[in-house]
This record gives sequence, structure tokens and C-alpha cells, in this order.
Amino acid sequence: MPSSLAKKFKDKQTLNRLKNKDKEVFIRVYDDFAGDIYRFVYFKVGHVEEAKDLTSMVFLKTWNHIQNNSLTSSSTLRALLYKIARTSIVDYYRETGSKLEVSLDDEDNHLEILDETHDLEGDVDRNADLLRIKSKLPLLKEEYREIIVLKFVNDLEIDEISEVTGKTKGNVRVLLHRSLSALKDLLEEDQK
Amino acid sequence: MTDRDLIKKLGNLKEIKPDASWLKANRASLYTQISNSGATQLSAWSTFVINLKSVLKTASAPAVALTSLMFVLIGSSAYGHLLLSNTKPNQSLYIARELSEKAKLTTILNTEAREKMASQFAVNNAQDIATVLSDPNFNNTQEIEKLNVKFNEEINVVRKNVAKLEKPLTLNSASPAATNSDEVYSATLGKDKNGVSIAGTENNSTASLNTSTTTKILEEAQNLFTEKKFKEAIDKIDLIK
Repeated sequence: MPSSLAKKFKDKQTLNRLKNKDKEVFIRVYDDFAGDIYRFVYFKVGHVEEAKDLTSMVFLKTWNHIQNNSLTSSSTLRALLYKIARTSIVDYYRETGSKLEVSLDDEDNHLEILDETHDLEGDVDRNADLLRIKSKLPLLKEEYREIIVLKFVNDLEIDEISEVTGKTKGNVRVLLHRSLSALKDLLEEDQK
Repeated sequence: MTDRDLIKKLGNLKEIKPDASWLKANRASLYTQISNSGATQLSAWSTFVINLKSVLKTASAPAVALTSLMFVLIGSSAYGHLLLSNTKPNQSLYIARELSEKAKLTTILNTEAREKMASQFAVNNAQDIATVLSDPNFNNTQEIEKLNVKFNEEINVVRKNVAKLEKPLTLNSASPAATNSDEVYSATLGKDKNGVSIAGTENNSTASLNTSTTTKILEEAQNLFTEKKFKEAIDKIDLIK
């Protein structure tokens, strides 16, 4: 309870400071969330450059949204960022007339090894797993892929996912279960 | 592969992230864009006001509000009777006092202690009724009738509880029943050379009344009340407080 209160306080404080056009806080928000938003967008569009452009657009749109709205529609800043990211992707494809398709097969998106002290063998295994999962994710239904990324990659709470996707918490739980099963089936088929 | 293994492997996808140079360049670009759209650096005072507002907004969250409400309710039910103890039976706040007394009684789990407290409340209420009726300016006949009934009810509550309680109520120092000094002969304490000591006890205020004495006092108080000798009835009730 105290930690969740502290989190709520921090969130309200950040939103209020953003509402008062505090640019330092906005840059801090960018530092905290840019990686997560990029990853979310990347798994939606499947191309690095488009993901970068859209990520940049999401932050600018969020800044404008905060200045022009009452902020009562979103419970957390993180949920607001993801909601804006979702609508930005839809708008982007509507404007460019492109079809929303996912490949996730960009050759130029090399996985970065963050900690070089890891043993090489372990990292090789991990990279193999990552590549396998990454290759199977595009084969999942769009809503399954989205919910997997939100929950298991970007660590959003069920409440936040419910807010971002507009689904009830119960539906989110069911979707999470189904999406995990579907991904597991794909990976097991691949092993056979 | 178990769900746990799969979730662990999915967590490794966090390693997919944009290159640091793009992040840095985009950061600078965003900073310039928002600076052009009127972004500022807040003063210490503005930051303080925002922090204060944020604290208030967080405190108004349902869970916090509910907890505060519970504290207020528990506090008022436990200690509210102290604040309302001066209200008289002919005043509108008297209902709040009665409710507060009932709430206070429900917080006591020990049956004996609860009955003692109920008797104490009833004695106080009966005395307050007599005080109100002793006022010559109080002439609301309907109200007088109600208070007469209420007085008898309160006396009956005391009588019933006194009968239930094994330990007798304590007697006030003004009690005529306690005016005679007693002598206690002790075989073990403070003996003199002859092996016998006599300890004369003071006429103290904690000398106890037995059930029959209390019942007798109550009856006398009730009779005095019926005869409209309110002041005498108050004095009589004082004996068992």
C-alpha cells in the first residue's frame, strides 16, 4: 500500500508538472519510457525506422495531449503513453495508406548484449531463444502479440493493460492465457 | 516448456531497444521542439504548489479516503460520548449521545464490563432527565410525559444490570450508608506486642453497596421522582454513581 501510494503520488506529480510545461520532467519521462514505447511500437509495425519515427511522434503527441486535456481520462502516465502509441500507429497507417503488417525480420535490428560480463555460452543460448520467439511472434494474432508485449515484455499491470486496450480486466486475463498457449504451441511445433 | 519458462524467455525481449545514438539525438530534438512550444523550467514555488496538489489528489484516492473514514467512525464511536456527555435529554444532540453510548457499548467485549458501563450510562441519563424536569421553565407537557417514561426505563436498566452483576457498584463519598466508620481486625498485619492489632478504616469513597441497597436507593429515587422532588431524586441517584 505505501509503495503504491508513493507511485501514485509520483505519477500525479509528474502529470501536474507536465501540465505546467515543465520540460525537465518531460525529458525525464522520455528517458524512462522511450525504450519501452519503442519496443511496443516495434512489435506492432515490425520495422526499426518506422518504430523510431512513431516513438518520436508518440512523445510529441503526449506532450501536446497533456497541455490540451484535463488528464482525467488516464489513471497513469504510462497508460497514457501506450494509448497514444496505439492510436498513433493506426493514424500513421491510415495517413500513409499502408497496410498494417508485421515482419519483425529486419536484418538491421541486431540484439544488443547489455552486460558483457555474461558467459558467452549462456548468451548464445539466450540469443537463440530470443530469435526463435521473435520469429514466432508475428505469426500470432495482433491482439495476442500486443498483450504479450504489454504484460511480459514491458511489464504493465493488468489495470494498465485494461485501460490501454479498452478491455475489461477479466478479458485481459483470458487473453493473456490464450496468447501464451498460442505462442507455446507455435514454439513446440517448431521444435518438432 | 512451462508457462514460467516462456514468460522468462519473453522477458529477455527487453533487450530489443533502439540504438543509443538515435535515443540521444531524438532526445535533443524533442527538447528543442517542446522548448519552442512554450515549455519552461518551473520555479521552486510552482514546484511546491504542484507537490502539495499531488499529495492532496493522492490522499483523495478511494482507499485513502475509506481508511480515513474508518478512523473517524471508530474514533467517534469510541470517544464520541465524551464530547456529547453534556447534552441534555431535551436537546436535539441527545440522540447522538444515545447512539454514541450504544456504539461505545458494542466495542466492549467483556459482558460484565459492558453491563457496568450500561448501568453507568443509565444512571447518568436518569439524573439528566431529573435535572431537566427540575427546571421550572420547562413546561412542554408532551416532552415531560416522554421523559417520565424514559426515566423509569433508565432506572429499570440499572436495576436489571445490578441484579446481574455479582460485584456491587461503588458508593459515592456523599453516601449516608458509608458515613459510619468501620473497624477491621487483622490477625496478620501490623500486630503489636500483644499479637493483636486494630486498624480503623477511614470512611472512604469506595466502600461498596450490595445489590439490595442499590435496589432500595433506586426505588427511593423513583418515588421521589414520581413526587416531583427532582432535586432529591438527583441526590439519591448520586449515591450509586
